[in-house]
Amino acid sequence: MMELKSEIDRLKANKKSQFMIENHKSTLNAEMAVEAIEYSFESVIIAAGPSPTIIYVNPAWEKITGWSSGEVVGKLNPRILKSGKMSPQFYRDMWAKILKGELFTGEITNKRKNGSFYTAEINIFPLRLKNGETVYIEIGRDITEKKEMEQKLEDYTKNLEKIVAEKTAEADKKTGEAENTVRAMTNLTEDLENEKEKAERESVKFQTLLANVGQGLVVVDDDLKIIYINPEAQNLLGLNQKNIGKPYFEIWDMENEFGDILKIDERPITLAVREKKRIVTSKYSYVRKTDGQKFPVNVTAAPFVFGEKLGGAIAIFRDITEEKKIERAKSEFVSLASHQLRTPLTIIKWYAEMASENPAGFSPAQKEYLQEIRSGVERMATLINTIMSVSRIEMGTFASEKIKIDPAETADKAIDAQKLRISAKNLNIKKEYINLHPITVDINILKMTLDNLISNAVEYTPEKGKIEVRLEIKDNNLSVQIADNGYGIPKDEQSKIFTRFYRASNAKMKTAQGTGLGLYLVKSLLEQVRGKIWFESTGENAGATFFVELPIEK
Amino acid sequence: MKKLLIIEDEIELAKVLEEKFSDEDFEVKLAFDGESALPEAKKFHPDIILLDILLPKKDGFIVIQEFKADPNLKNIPVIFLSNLGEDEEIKKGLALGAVDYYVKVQHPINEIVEKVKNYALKGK
Repeated sequence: MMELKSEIDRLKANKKSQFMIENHKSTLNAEMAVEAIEYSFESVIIAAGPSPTIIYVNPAWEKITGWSSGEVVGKLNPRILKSGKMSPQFYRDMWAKILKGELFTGEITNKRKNGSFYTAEINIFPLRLKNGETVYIEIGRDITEKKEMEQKLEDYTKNLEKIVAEKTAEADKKTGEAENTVRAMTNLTEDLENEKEKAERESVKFQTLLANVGQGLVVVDDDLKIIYINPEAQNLLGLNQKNIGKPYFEIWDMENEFGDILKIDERPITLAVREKKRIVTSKYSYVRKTDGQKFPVNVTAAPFVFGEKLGGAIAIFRDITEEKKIERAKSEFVSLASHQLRTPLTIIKWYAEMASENPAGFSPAQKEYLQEIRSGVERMATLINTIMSVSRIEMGTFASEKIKIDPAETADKAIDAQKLRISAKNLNIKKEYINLHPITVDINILKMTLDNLISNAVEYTPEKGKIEVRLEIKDNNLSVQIADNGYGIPKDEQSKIFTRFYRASNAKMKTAQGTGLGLYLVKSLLEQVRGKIWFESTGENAGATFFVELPIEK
Repeated sequence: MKKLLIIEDEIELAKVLEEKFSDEDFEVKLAFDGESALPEAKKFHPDIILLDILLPKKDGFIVIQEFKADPNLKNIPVIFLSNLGEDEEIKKGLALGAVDYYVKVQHPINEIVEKVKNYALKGK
């Protein structure tokens, strides 16, 4: 210590030193300086030597580090303080300055004797002694608490910022929500007002419409009690406003096509309410209870709901007496016309047959004439059937008959009907039935389609030709494909092939028979049930394939 | 010998049927309108009846109902033979109790004879 005192004494002269002490009024001696160092709050450590050994520590240093002077002085390297928390670059920078003889100022985290850490602001500088030896002096101020405070403050600030940010975001969201809600409420209110106004307008419009509509209109609640009758319904059924609130079936009756009174459960309005189904029918008649008058009606009864709850049913009906009359007249016309045409034809047919049975008195030429008469009769009979079918379609009275059938059986029958011509022409018939099972289709339309297409294929395919009949149930359709390698359809005539009475030029050349109505008939029929027909033929003598899709009833 | 009643207003058709069935060993009686059908049937008591539909005075649909309402006649097989060929008519005819329904122009006369023979042999 004493040696040092003299050294410190020299510090006065050193301009670089923090210990530069102005020689002021009284003389600062080394002893005073050492005392000052001993009592300083700042830590002082001095090391010396090439691998520096601690040669002095002051009490402040002992207090900060936990090491005692006796443990370290003359024994240990200042390296004992290394915390491992500082980067190698820090020490490199530090030593670079010190070795240049400059003051290093920095903040360092060191390790105490007990392994805990402290942070200090330090000044380190070298001091060259007279004997040529260099000592390193470090003066430090413990800033651990300050650092901790700073860190805490920083953490707190960060935390606070985070909280603030979170709260702000939350608040923003709430504000947004609130704004949306307000906006929604505003819109809703506006909408409600608009709706109310609209509803009122609609209601007036609706009431006017209901009152003036040319059809009868009755509304019943879910107990089948009348809640509204429009003037036309009152007129048709002989009702008045007094009937409101009464069960509708007490007010008027309904009859089926055989003149039997329908049970309440069978009536369209009841079905609409009970089974929540829309019913449309033209089969029944309404009967007025007041005077027993009856008239056929077309009724549409449909359920209506309020929210989830069934409200009741609405029935719209009109008197179809006139329509029925017209329909009947049309149907009777076709029926009678065909009858009138067939009767003389039957006379010719049967007498020609009788004559053919006793041909003894006939010359060969006469026998041939007789045969011509008979085949003419057959053509005429077919033509009448076809024309009658066309008239029925065009008058809308073609009998639709949806029944469950096996399509394979129907196709077999259609092929069988042609068996004489098939064997006469030695045609090769290939059948391909895929996924066939009983289905519900319009049987008349299916028969007509298969009969016509197969008969055409047979008619317009030369001897030893090939015909392929392919049926498949696919999705909700029965798909039919009739392919032949016959005369084909000339390209320039393909667009006219479904036209009424049209016969392709090559078909007319091959055979005089044929009405030109078959394909027209089939196409018209298929269109009635949303079916389709089309064909492919690359031209004359290239054969033809007809494709049909017939919807299946579910 | 089986007894056949033919109710047919077209003379030419009635004639050719009568001739044909007589050749086939039937005892044939003819009625030319709907009104005379029932009395003729009661008198003749046929084994089988061929009945047209469009007839003077009463149509075949009414005539068959009269037959079916008569306990002595109701079991005699009735075949409709008409040139009405609509589905509704065929269905109605069969629904009223006819054993069969032929559209005249669609069948050779021999075919009709064969069918009638079959029903006559089967009896009631």
